[in-house]
Amino acid sequence: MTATGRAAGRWRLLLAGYVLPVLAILGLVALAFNLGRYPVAPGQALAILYAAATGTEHGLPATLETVVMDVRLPRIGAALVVGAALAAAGATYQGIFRNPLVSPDILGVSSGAAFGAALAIFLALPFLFVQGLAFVFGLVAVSAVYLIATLVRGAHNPLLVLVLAGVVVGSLLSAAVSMLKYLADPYDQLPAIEYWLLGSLSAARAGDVLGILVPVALGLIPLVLVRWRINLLSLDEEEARALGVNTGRLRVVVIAAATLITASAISIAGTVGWVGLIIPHLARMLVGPNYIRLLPASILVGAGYLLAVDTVARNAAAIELPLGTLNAFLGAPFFLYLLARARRSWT
Amino acid sequence: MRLEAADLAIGYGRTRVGSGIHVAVAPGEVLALLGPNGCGKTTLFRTLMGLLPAQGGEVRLGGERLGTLSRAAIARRIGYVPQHAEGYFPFTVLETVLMGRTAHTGIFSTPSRQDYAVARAHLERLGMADYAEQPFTRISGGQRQLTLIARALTQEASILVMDEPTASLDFGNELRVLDRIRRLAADGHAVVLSTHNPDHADRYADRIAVMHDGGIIAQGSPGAVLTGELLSGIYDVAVERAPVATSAPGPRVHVTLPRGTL
Repeated sequence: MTATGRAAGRWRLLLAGYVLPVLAILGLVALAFNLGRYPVAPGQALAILYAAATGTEHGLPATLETVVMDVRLPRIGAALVVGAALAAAGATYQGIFRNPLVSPDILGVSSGAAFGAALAIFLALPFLFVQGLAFVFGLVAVSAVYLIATLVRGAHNPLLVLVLAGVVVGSLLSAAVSMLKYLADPYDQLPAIEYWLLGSLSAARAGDVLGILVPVALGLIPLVLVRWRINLLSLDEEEARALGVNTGRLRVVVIAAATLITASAISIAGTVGWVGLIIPHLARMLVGPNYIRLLPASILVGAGYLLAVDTVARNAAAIELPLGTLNAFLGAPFFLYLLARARRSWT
Repeated sequence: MRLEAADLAIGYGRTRVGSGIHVAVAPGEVLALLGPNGCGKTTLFRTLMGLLPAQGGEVRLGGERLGTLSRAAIARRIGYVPQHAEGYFPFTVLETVLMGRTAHTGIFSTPSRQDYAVARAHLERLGMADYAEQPFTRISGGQRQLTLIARALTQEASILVMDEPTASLDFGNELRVLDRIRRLAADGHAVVLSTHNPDHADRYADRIAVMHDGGIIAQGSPGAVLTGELLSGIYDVAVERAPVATSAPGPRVHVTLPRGTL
């Protein structure tokens, strides 16, 4: 390929992977501020945001300010952060498990978080504990999986052991969630648990979004920094080691980072499935499998996607549709499409 | 750089595969490891590269003990060409070759312009420049082998370890790859390869080590090592070595044939 051909190829990747997603996100953000029970014109939203940022007056009704600052802004922020986090974690897990059909909950983080949230609801703890326990148990579940896998390693394939440990711990925690649901008060607690399991951003407050920004950044920054090496983790173990990678240590760091961001996202959004599975595929179609581009592209596409779906979830019907469920309606057909394509290649 | 193994014992976990292994390969030299399936060739290779710990004895790279080197330090000394590489994700040929630069880049860095230049230079050298942007998953077996060799060269390692480099190649690619390996040795690389074909070992290796039941049972120049009896013994099949009539000067070329063919 000629140098000009290469330059054209780079521009195409830049456009598809970064420029278009960023423009799409900006458009979606404007739309998301606008749509809803109280329509807010983009100019009004901008004026309120500007006034809030600079501490000046905007001269618009107080109701509008409440809608923009307390309702839409946190929710838009939550959708962007959760979408970016789940997509980045999904892309990472698919690489290190060398399997494009893996999603961030392969190591039991979702089941752990679900158990934590259900336990907090069951014990009638304050709402903050629902998020807190979801986060903590998400991390505990994955740590347990990793510990089990380390203990039974030996001559086995370490990845296979990890996946099997994930399945076992995940099933155990799902059984525990079922038990909590069975024991829960059917009029008060059971609906709350079910609602959490459906996944939603409707309860997201500004404080929640700010609260997960730190752990999400703590996970996302190392992943972005080592993204070239995630490519090497997607090779056969021996090949990667022969190329100079300390695979064991790198894998622990990468799994820890991906788990941290997944647990953070799930703690405020509930179990929002599919994003971590399908967005990395979309991103791979746009920019190819190289994590140098794939990880940033997944982050952008994931943020835009979840904001779009959440905007649909709160506007499509008279009542709000559960985000997780809507996601599954969109995700399942797409997954089938991927399976049909799989015979050709994972591009 | 010289690769030496002295009184090496190899195996997995508690399973001992072989012991008392002495092999050495010097720059400019091709050492072929010949032996039946299951004799321990792959285990030996893994131990030589430090992918498995030695169960006894030691491996030295240019005098340094293998056990004291980090993975990256080993990767800058030994380039590995696996028998085949599983393409889980469709990285391009160039991206695949660039992965050879990993041992030369910091943990947080992505390949630099210079890394790209090194990768392209090696692709060029192996005649693969035109395939740089093709997905590795869509090229032929011979092209994949050349890509993996380019990747090992991109490591800028002076020792090359190749696990059956011609195993899945057609006749033309087989000869092309072997010829390329000869030239790499001429350029100063120390090459260790395993093969199932005694005639390849004969023609392309400077020295042959014959492995059987986890031990090296013969080692030396092809002419001295390769005999009909030895091959019949290790492969459990009656063969004979026959000289090919030729007027060219130099050592005589032999072929291996089932006993009684001539």
